[in-house]
Amino acid sequence: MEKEQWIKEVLESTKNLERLQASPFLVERVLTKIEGWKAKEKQNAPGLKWAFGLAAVLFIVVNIASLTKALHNKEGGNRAEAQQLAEGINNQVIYNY
Amino acid sequence: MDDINHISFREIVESNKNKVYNTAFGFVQNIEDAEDITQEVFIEVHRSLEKFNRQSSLSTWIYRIAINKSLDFLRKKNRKKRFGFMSSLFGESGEQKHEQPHFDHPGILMENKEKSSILFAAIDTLPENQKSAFILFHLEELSQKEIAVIMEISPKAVESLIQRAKAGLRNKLEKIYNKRGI
Repeated sequence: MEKEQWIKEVLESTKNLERLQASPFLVERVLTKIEGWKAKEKQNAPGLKWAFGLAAVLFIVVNIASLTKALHNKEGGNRAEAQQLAEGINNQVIYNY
Repeated sequence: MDDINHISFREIVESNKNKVYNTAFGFVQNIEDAEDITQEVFIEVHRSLEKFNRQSSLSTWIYRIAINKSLDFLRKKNRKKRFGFMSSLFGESGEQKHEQPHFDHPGILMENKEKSSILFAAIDTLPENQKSAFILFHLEELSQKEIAVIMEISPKAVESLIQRAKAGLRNKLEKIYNKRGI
């Protein structure tokens, strides 16, 4: 019985609860935060983002191009070397005693 | 933002700030955290005001944001608690951040302080949807119909959530009573 009474009292302890009052400066605080957030967004302006994006793409394209060129040159060099070697073999005189 | 928007946003904040603050307090049970959440809610309102589709009332929409922000805050806090617990298990030097929130509701009568502190601690252990329904019904004193609109569920489902929340609280309070040998 006592237990039931205690539980009832606990469950009803928030009855007639006086409502909390938010700070009167809340609007100013929120607006200040919003201004700060906007300034940050301005810093990361879309134009700047595009410029960074373009620079990154250019960097990648230049790298790929130079890598392809280097590989191509290497392949060409190997082919020339092989050809030279083959010619050398052909020019050798074979003496068959 | 121009002055006209500033004025209307100011009106929105002024007419809803106490609702948001009290709801957030119901969830986080701490004045400072409730104030931070209230600020975050209105920043979100400002950010998403253009996307607000007016299918529900502005106040319903703001309640929804307040609940989501409060639940997010609690999830983050619980993650930190778990991390602190794991760190302490593995003997990391980081101090454990698991602390019982200091409950102090200025609107509660002195003689009810202890009992309401027990009640709020029990509310904190409820599942998220039961907690939301219980807070909106008992602390915000909204009707089941209003809660149904806010939580986007049927009034029957709200009733069921409140009943289950009450049963869960009763169960927890019984355990506390037996443990304390009051």
